[in-house]
Amino acid sequence: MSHDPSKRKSLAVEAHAYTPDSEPEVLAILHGAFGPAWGGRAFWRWKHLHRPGFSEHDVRVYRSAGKVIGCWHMAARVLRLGPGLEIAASVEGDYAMHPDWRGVGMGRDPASIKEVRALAERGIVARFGFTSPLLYERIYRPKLGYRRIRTVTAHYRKLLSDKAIRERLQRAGERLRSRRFIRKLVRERPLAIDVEVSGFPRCMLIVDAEGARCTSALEVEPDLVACVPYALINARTPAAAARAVCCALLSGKLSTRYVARFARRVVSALAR
Amino acid sequence: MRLTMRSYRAGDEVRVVALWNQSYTRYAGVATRTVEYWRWSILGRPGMSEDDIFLIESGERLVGYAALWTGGKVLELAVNSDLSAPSRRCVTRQLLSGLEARARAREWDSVELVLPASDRLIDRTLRSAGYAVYGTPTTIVRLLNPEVLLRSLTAARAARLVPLRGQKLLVTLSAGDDPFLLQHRLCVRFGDSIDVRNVGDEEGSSADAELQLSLAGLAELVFCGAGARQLLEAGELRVDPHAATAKVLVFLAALAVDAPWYTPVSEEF
Repeated sequence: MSHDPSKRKSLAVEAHAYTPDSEPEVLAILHGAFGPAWGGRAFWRWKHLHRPGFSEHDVRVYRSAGKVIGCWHMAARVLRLGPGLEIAASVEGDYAMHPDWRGVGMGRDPASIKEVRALAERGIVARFGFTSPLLYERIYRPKLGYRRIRTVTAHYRKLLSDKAIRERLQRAGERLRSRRFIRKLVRERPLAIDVEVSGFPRCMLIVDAEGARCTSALEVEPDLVACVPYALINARTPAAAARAVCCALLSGKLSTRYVARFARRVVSALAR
Repeated sequence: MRLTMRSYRAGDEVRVVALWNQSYTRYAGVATRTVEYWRWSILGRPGMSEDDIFLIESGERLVGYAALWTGGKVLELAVNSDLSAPSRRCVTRQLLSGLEARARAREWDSVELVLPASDRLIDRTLRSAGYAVYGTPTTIVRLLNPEVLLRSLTAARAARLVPLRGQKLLVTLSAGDDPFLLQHRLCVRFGDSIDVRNVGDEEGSSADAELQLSLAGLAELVFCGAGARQLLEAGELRVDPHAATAKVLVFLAALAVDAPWYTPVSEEF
């Protein structure tokens, strides 16, 4: 199934609509691209086959030498653009290619014009999709002519479990350890910070020469004790973190202990 | 206002769908819901439990609804937009506490929602309850049939295009970054009604003005908040004759989708 892009024009890729026999191979291609977490066969069948208004043409299966090498899915929707204004649109996704066929320019292949015409014949006015900023900049904008919509859609999250808090702190500890000075600081002895995030049980962040870990057990005598507001844990940018720190200081929600002990340790590390 | 919260019961879907449509009526990018679609999208979703669909009622009236899916992902949350601000806040808080309690009971680590950040009241209520924005989706668009798009837009904005009555514009599109261009010349005639027609290479398509831009440039004007003046300055839009620029700007300004664009997570693909 391997593919040499230089021979692309001589290799025939066939595309066809959904057929029941192609399901296992389509699912394998999706799992190859997105991992098994994408969902199983029941999920695929629910998402596509059982969707109200599903047409077999909502699935395109790409084959080379009889084998499935890629797939693409869409749903036809009537999207509102404003009061009393709607257009027929396709919302597209679950586009995946076998690794050997990625980056060969399937999306710009002259054969694809047939599919584009078929969409137009179905009355589709505009095509919509979702991607990552990276893929948008690398592929969708420069190679396929997509444009990013100005949207008000926002993803909100609230952490509920202390396990999730510990994972977040552990990641912060790993980022901290990636700094040269911190690696120097923990070379001989681990750095232990007793952290209490407001509303959650205390935990201990330990950064040592091997890595960072956050445990629920308060294993050792801490170098620093910090009570931090939940907002600080959620800060996505240094500016947001600084804002959360300022608010917490003003409202008394941020407190530390053993700062002098910690400072002595920092000074001695600097002196080494 | 006395509120009661309960889980979904068979037969609630008609009121739930009506509430969802009412709550999101002012947004672009959404499709008007039907009961059949809701049953498939929410109720029939693998892993969905009817117990995790919450309804808040004030007497007989449904004022809030939320659907919690596996892992703490909230597929939908809708609050009646006609309620007073304090009532909307109260309904939202009650929904959030119900969602959080259920997520904790199911031992999920977090609750995640996808909502329009432009709704200041919902945004503030979420933030004050400890929610933080951790991302925005990259929603992309590509035009396929500019003729139908322009026909729909000009019909909906006819009142704004009255100053162009009696004029005829020719829109010449280039492929730009898009590998496929199905229509490259459109004629827009402003009369009692506005006529948009794909004229292709037809001869004799004279017009009062001709504007040239790429297909993606048109998408930017309509969906992405790009200004026509901005495209003009960047050389991505040309008007011939130059003296007709003011008329063309009136036309292009009327094409922009000005309603906030929102995609519910249940409709992400």
